[in-house]
Amino acid sequence: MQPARAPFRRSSAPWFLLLPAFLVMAYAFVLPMLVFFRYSVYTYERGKLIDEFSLDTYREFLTDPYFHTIIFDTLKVASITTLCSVLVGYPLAYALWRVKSAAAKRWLGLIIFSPILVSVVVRSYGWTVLLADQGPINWFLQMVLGFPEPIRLVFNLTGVVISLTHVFLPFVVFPIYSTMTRLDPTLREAAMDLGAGWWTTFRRVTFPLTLPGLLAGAQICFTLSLGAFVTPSLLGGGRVIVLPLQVFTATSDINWPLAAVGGIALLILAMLTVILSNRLLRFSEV
Amino acid sequence: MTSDVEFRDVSKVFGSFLAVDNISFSVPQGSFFSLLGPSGCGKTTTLRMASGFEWPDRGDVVIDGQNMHNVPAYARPTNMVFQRWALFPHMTVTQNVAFGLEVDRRPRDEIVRRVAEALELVGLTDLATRKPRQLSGGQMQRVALARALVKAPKVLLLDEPLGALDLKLRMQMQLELKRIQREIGTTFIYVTHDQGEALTMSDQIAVMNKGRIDQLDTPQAIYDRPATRFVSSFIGNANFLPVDILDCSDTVAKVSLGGVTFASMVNRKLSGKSGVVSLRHERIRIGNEAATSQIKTNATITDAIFSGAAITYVIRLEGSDAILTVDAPHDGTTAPQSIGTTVRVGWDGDATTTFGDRDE
Ligand SMILES: Nc1ncnc2c1ncn2[C@@H]1O[C@H](COP(=O)(O)OP(=O)(O)OP(=O)(O)O)[C@@H](O)[C@H]1O
Ligand SMILES: [Mg+2]
Repeated sequence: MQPARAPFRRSSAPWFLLLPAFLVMAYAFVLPMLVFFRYSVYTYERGKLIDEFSLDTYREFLTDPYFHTIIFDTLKVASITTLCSVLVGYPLAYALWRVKSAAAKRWLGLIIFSPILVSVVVRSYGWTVLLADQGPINWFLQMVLGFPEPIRLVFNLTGVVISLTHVFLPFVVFPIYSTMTRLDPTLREAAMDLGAGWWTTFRRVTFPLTLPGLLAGAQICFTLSLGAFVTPSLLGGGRVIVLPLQVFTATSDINWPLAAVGGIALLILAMLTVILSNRLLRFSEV
Repeated sequence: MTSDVEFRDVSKVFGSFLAVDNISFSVPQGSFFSLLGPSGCGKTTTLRMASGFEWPDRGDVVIDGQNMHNVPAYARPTNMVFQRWALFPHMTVTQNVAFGLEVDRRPRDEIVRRVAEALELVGLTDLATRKPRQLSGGQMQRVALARALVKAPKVLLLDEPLGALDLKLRMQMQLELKRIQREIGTTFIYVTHDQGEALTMSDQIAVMNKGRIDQLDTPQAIYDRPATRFVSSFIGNANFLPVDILDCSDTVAKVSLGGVTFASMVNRKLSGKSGVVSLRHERIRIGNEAATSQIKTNATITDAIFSGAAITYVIRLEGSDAILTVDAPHDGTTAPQSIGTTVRVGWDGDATTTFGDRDE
């Protein structure tokens, strides 16, 4: 027997609702993408755009070790940032969930949310000051803990990761927090009633059931990190070249084909992330 | 008989609200004990103090001879069946049931054996690999029961476990619960607001009202000899009619209901001149049936409602004009009375209880 199909009008309603979004997408995404693809199959030689079909730019991008390093660094920055955000964000979400007083909850929520309220440029310069060799953190390390030399915390990968983790934290905390609040509180009581202490209850009940939120947060963080531009350029000090920076440089050199190929590489990485995390998400859901 | 659970002068406050007010009871080993009362009377709170999810603000909870003063939920010899069952949604039926044994680090083969036994007991062997969302309400209920019972607790605590099931299934599960309880001999503490459920299943019922226990007795004693006006109105259906008290001893009062005088039961010597008599709907006889009753009078039928197994009459008593509701069995032997006719009605004095005017 075949499952009955919903009447046409009912099943088509969602598509009508999606129409405005489709129109916006067509104009703001599909059209530019087509332009994008066109440029990516052109080449650029000695300051001139040659508009003939050729895969040379792709070939260059995929074989030149310089671009390999860029792709690798992009993935590295995104991975470390995601890992740090999750490691900081999950306990934070848990604390926000377990805090009893409503006032404390509000303040904690505001603090977690605050990075988004501050302009990215201001925030990046703030971090530059905080993390500098003469900044308060290094002062503390040298004066109080007796480090012989300042630790380089800025204008390298470390600075980029610290600042990105800071700004993407809310995007990790809130999906996790929302799965936690949707968790039936009697489940934890049931686990404890069956003899599980706090840790076992967390490991066998709370964590598996909040995993979808964690994956969603990690996915958002990873894709946002892939596309981050201002933070790597201000806090990387020219030493951390990620794909968005490469695209920007190529654009300012009016090397459109190279910029287009870099953009496409970025798009593919983002799409792979989404596909992979959707797989994991489906696996983790009950 | 030894007692498995004992509450000694236990009170619990939430903020300034007294949810449980100085209650004491003791549950004999292997018995089916019900906490019965209306919504908000403190049943769940009492049960949660036994399971260790709430802590008494005063008094002691003693389980299996041990004071539970400092014993957390996970270390108590009790297990709970939650109101909405609280099954782990990411685990299969087997995994749900095995959870408590795995936590205790029992050997693998013992876990397998005991889980199989528990699933057998509740008749779920065929559904062992399903996830909770693939089960019906009744099946989830059985999983919750198996999950708690597999740990072989001293005391099983059940918080309105049948509340979310439809009527037919609820009746069926009542019988099944009772069967399981008899089979394994574990002490059950059962919370419900459904008097029928409590009456059918329990060995003993504690009727709770506003945080206190109004009466603790066997189902029959509670039904026949309500200790308070609240118990009398909460359990079964009763008419409450104002009466004059002509004379009163410790156990019996001579009362007058619009000229009809009879001896009614009392729980204590009432000092006032007037009171309220409770007359159960089905204890009033009507028509020819009334001939054998101790007290007889005339009444006019003002309404008759047919409901299958019984006919409910609304009658007005001659002399007092008191309005009474009467449930007469409909067994086909007598024709139903028609509205407007005057009939003989009667009841037995010892089937009534009189309470003081201001008694609750
Ligand atoms: N955590 C709490 N904080 C404040 N008040 C509470 C809390 N838990 C229960 N109460 C109050 O205590 C009273 C008794 O609650 P309880 O849950 O024991 O009632 P119940 O008899 O189980 O009722 P029901 O049949 O509706 O489940 C209620 O008035 C309730 O509002
Ligand atoms: Mg309750």
